[in-house]
Amino acid sequence: MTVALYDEPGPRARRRILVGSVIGAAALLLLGAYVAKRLDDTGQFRSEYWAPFGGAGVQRILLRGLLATLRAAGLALVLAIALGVVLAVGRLSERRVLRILSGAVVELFRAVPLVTLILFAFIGLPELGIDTGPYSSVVIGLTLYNGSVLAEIFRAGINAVPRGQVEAAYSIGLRKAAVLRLVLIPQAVRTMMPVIVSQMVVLLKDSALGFIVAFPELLRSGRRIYTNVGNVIPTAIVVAAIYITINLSLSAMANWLERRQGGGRRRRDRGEARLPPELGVGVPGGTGSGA
Amino acid sequence: MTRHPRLRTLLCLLLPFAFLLSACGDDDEGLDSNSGGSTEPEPEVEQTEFPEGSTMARLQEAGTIKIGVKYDQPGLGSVSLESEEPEGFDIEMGKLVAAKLGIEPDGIQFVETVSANRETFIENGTVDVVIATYTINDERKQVVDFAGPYYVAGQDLLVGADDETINGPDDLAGKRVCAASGSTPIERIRTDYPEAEPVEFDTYTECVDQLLADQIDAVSTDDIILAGYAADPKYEGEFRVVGETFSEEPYGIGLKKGDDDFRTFLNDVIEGAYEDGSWESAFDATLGASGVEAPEPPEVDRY
Amino acid sequence: MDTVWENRDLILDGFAMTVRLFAVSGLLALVAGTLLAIMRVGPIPPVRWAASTYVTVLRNTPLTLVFVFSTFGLPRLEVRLEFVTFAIVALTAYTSAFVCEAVRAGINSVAAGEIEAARALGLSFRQVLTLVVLPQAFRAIVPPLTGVFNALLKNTSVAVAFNVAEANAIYRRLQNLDGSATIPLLLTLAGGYVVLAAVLFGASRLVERRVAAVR
Repeated sequence: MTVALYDEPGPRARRRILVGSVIGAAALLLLGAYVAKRLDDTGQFRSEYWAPFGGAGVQRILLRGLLATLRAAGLALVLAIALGVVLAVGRLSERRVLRILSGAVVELFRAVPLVTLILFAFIGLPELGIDTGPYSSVVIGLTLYNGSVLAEIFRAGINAVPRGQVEAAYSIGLRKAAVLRLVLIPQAVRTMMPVIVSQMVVLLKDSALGFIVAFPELLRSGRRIYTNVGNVIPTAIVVAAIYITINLSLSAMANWLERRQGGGRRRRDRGEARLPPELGVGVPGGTGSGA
Repeated sequence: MTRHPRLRTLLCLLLPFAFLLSACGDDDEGLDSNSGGSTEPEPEVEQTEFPEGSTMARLQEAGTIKIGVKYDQPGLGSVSLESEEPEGFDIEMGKLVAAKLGIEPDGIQFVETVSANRETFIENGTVDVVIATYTINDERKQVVDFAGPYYVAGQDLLVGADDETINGPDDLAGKRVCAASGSTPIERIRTDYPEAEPVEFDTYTECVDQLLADQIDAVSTDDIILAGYAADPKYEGEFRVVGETFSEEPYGIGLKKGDDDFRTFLNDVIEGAYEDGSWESAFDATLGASGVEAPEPPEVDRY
Repeated sequence: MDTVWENRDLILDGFAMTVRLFAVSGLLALVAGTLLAIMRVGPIPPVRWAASTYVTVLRNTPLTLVFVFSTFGLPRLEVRLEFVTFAIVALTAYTSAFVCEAVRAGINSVAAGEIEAARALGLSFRQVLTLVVLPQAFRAIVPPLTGVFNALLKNTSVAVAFNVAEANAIYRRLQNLDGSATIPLLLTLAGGYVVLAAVLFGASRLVERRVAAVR
């Protein structure tokens, strides 16, 4: 706790905390027992609900779903980074048209729900003569949305590079493109690494929206299991556990990257870029974007 | 590279994803199926000469066909957990078509479709044909073409086994009636029975799930689909099919609009199956298992 | 364009449902999230632990899965509600985890000196929290909270697959009836969301200015 909300507890406070802990723990245990009883009363622990997860068929379905999820999220991440860089550079351009255009694109795709974007890619683009399928629709939707989000993050990252460096680069005779390519983007991307990894969590979670276009990702594979066995709750628990495990590992990786870059003071002494804290992007999962 | 340690980290992180780029154009991650394992004898693969440039020639040349089917309709098109292949009457029809195109069973790719995306799948080429309890109607004919019908069903109601309040569509006032999003049944409930409260999910299995949980009062779709659920051992004694059909649902094979040669070919396949008995044996091996007798096959409509 | 115009009432109903989902779950999530945040900064370990577990689980689960759990799971536990209510349960459960994080960040942003000063005056933990910390925290969290609410506004669209007639469900239905109207319908839908987002950000700026003036 960094906040000095309460003192180092004295003997009386310590007793009160102990009493509170006991009451709190008892309340939680009661709640847990109630939920467990409800689950048991409605037969959620029945072995025929859980046994299928030991079967090769079910495991194969889940594994395949997981791979589809990773494939869609991974490809969308690569494409979103590319789109994000283009849009960020566009917004920092000296040409007004380019600035306004990139800004409009970013704002539009950040305002429209991902569900709508995926539906658009799936139903709208074919109307315009562009063939899409479930997989490409999910990837397009994820790319447009996350590309716009990343564009804003990159822009902040580029702005966070100390001005002196840019001036120095110009003074040794580099042109604008070279400054961007050699000085700004490499540093911005480096600062962004933890953010990019955290964005992967958002992408992974959002790829579950593939279900609206029947893309057989992890959640839809889970649905195939529970519609067959009738074990919604056990399947939801198993699938949730898979998502949580992967997302927590990604978050741990993001934290590790941040720590590795960290040693904050040393970095600042070297005059390297740091992210402005108000972006609030250090927390895994961003600001709760997406579904 | 060594001058940019962090850049290298980035590259190392992204490299594993590079293979994804090459997988970009591959859209149908549906459970491809190589046939086999079915109890039904495989239809004999025939090699015919097709006119150059026709869809049949193209498919025969490629040796594969992508068929959109349902994955969750017992008896018609469903996949069990431990198997890789869908089974059912629609699937058998698909195999008949493939055989007449000279496509080996392992060249058939089944792709899951839901009611709401069948037209889209045909239009954008995700599948070559749709055989998925697909009712022929004029609205759909504006965007896709149909061969067949190869079966005529009728809209009916599935209710709880001990529910005596619903005995036909006229008892639906104030009841929650579930059907699949984008299906004919849901629109018919909306327009013809405005007193009922429509409920929609992606698939009928989800509707049945909600009926089992007492969240809704009835599931409405084609009698033959409902019979499949009622006969499913998993739901033994839970449901009853009301038995009052209130529509005619001719099932057709959906294909890209304007491909008249292909449509004629598909109609020939259906009629051929009527004549040589393969239609009836396909029916008996699938829907027949739930106790339904094969009806007289409907007349093919070559519009 | 005809389809859009002829069905304007239906489309407006869809957006009304979107707004309703947003308003009800937003309000509930604000309350629940604040309670969770208080549990997380409080002195009682089991309570702290429970709140942080809840937040970790919900933040790392796809919202769609939370919807599956509420709409298909709860009836299995013999909890029977309207489908709209299930959607609100899912949106509230998910969003409150993010509200909690925003509020906690706000609490952490209050200067330690002020809290120490308040404690030095002899205020209890509850008084420190309600009189000093939370009022200031809420000011600091208007921008991040706006982000959370903006996400919620868009997240209501997930209800499309769970029998809630919100904007996207209406869109999908109309599109199904008239395939040629796809593009006008989509533009209408996107336009609706842009307007709603603009209202949200406008309101947020208004609140921010008022709060700043009070300070």
